[in-house]
Amino acid sequence: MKKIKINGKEYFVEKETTVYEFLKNIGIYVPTLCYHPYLRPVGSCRICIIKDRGRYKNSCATLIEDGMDIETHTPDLIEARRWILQFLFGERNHYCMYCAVTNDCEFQNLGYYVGLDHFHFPTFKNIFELDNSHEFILFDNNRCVLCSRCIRVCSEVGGHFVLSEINKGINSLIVADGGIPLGKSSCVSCGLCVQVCPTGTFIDKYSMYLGRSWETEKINSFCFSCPVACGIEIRVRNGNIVKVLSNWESFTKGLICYKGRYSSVIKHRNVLQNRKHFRNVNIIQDSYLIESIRTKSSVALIDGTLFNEEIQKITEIFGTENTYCLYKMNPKINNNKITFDELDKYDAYIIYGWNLDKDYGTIGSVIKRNYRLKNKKMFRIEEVKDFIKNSIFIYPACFEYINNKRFWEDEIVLPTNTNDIGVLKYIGNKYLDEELVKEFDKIFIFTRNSDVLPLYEKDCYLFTYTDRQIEGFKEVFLLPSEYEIDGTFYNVFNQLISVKSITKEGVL
Amino acid sequence: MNRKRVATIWCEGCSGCHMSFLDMDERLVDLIKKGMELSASPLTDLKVPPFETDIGIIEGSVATDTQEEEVKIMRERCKIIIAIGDCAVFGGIPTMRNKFKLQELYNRVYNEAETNQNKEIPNEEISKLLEKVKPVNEVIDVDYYIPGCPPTPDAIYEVLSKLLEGKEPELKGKLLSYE
Repeated sequence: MKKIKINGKEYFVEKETTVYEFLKNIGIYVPTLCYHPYLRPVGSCRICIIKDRGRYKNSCATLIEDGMDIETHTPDLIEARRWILQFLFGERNHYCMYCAVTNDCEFQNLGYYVGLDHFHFPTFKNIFELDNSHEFILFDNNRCVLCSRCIRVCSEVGGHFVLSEINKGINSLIVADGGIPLGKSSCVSCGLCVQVCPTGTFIDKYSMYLGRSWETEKINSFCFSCPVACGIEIRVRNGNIVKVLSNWESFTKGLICYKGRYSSVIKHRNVLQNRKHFRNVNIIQDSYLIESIRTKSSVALIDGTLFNEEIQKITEIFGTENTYCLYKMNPKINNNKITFDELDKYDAYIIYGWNLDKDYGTIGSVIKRNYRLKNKKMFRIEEVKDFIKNSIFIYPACFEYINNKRFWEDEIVLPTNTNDIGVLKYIGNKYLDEELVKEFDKIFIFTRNSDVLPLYEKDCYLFTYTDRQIEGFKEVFLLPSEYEIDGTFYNVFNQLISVKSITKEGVL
Repeated sequence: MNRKRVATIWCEGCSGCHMSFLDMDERLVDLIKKGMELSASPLTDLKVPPFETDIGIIEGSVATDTQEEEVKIMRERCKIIIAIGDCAVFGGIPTMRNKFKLQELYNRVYNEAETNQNKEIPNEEISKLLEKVKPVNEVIDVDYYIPGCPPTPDAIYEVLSKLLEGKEPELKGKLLSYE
């Protein structure tokens, strides 16, 4: 129990906490800039300055001690904050006028808070090159205030260790991979740096000028792009998806990869633009349409890109016996038992045939940051020769291991598509081989993947989600995107996830 | 009644701030009742204010030697200087050219530009561009700032009316904006 005084009032503090967090809890606002609630505090910007027993301290990185006498808003502190901000506004290009994030900027809001009405120090002293090499991110060091939030989020949360700082003082620079263009670096485009940047240094090219955060509606949902199903926060304006942010409160704790943040939204926009070229079919609402084309001798092929409700409807229409998986499944994916949080508890990770940066990016993030920051071990399957205690083997469902000898304690099998586990649960492990195909007249393929081939020499109907013409099918129908319908699905950890529709169908 | 003389000048800007000034509409009459007397302004085409002006309002940043001179004269002749609008306060849009060297700029505009037939850089009877565009406070001391592009008529009214009443103006909330 610690006894402290804040602005003359006595408080008792039990748990270990920083001064800033305690002030926030009791409702005293102190401005912050480099502080971020989900990152380790560094106390570099000094804007959260307070006075403890006559000494100036930064509240975000100071732990509460017994006997503290804290003052938060004395005239000298207010004056100090004004000057700290003047220093931060100097040197570089902080003209709000021609910045993409104006009116939606933490740094600008701080200016308004302290009542900054001019720059005391000359601006635009050093001019740095604008980095436009990245596909999704515009990177402008001229707008940087060196709060290092991006560096911390890239390493502590993402585990990517791409961003770092070089040079000193006024010449300090945030760089990727020690100084190469962001687009050519090892950046995995997860966009976490964009999300935490308090200025316009990192700008999201695909959402700039589409709506400020206060103009958008905030909807919590889950990503459907891969079986991890990270928690996401979708920003919607007038029915359009402006951007996707990661949700810090979800089970993935703010992790996200390029698929969830950029790819799925960009594809959604492209499909919307090409919508009119296709007949749009919602499996659940327009089941009569499928019924009308279907004959008695028809077969449905489905994969894990469908929601549970859609799979159910298809099995209702075609019968469970006439519904098959589009490709061979590994029934082991049904045995995944560990949760996302439990991934942290292992001392060694054995990985097979899987790129940590590209697929299942957030599981990759957990492994990479544990490997770099907590000295845990990481192997590829070829290197493992003996049993490793407290280890987990992570491998894609297409892999069948050669011998029965196990080197690991636990394992997690990664499904190829998001809801493969749901498919297994509803129709079992059934695959339509060449012999069986002969029995059917018409083949209906349901998948949101657009790279399907009409493999069978029959009447093939394709229900897909695509922005381009696909040849070889009798007819191609367009399914609604994952943002447009309500549904449930199973993620890789066997959890049932349910999502709500974000936009109305066909809105652009 | 003790009238206070107010003069405005227009440097490197778009005149939007003067428009915003006029946009005070009937409150201009209010200000006149409070003792404002407009002397020099772009309307009267007096480039510099008369001696012993009380309040000098500067719109626009300082980009040429003429403007630098005008602003300095303004400081000499006015008791209070108000920088009005983002250009005067921060430098604004004209500072976009600070990214480039002056010679590069001349080259691009007069030699490389496809629309320019003469291909020569004008140098007579025209003010010289400064190497960098500067906000007003880098040339002279400024007493009050009204940022905004343009600042709202409310903000201008707030500052002028308080000054005419002899009080200290303060911009807060919606009156303080950088865009």
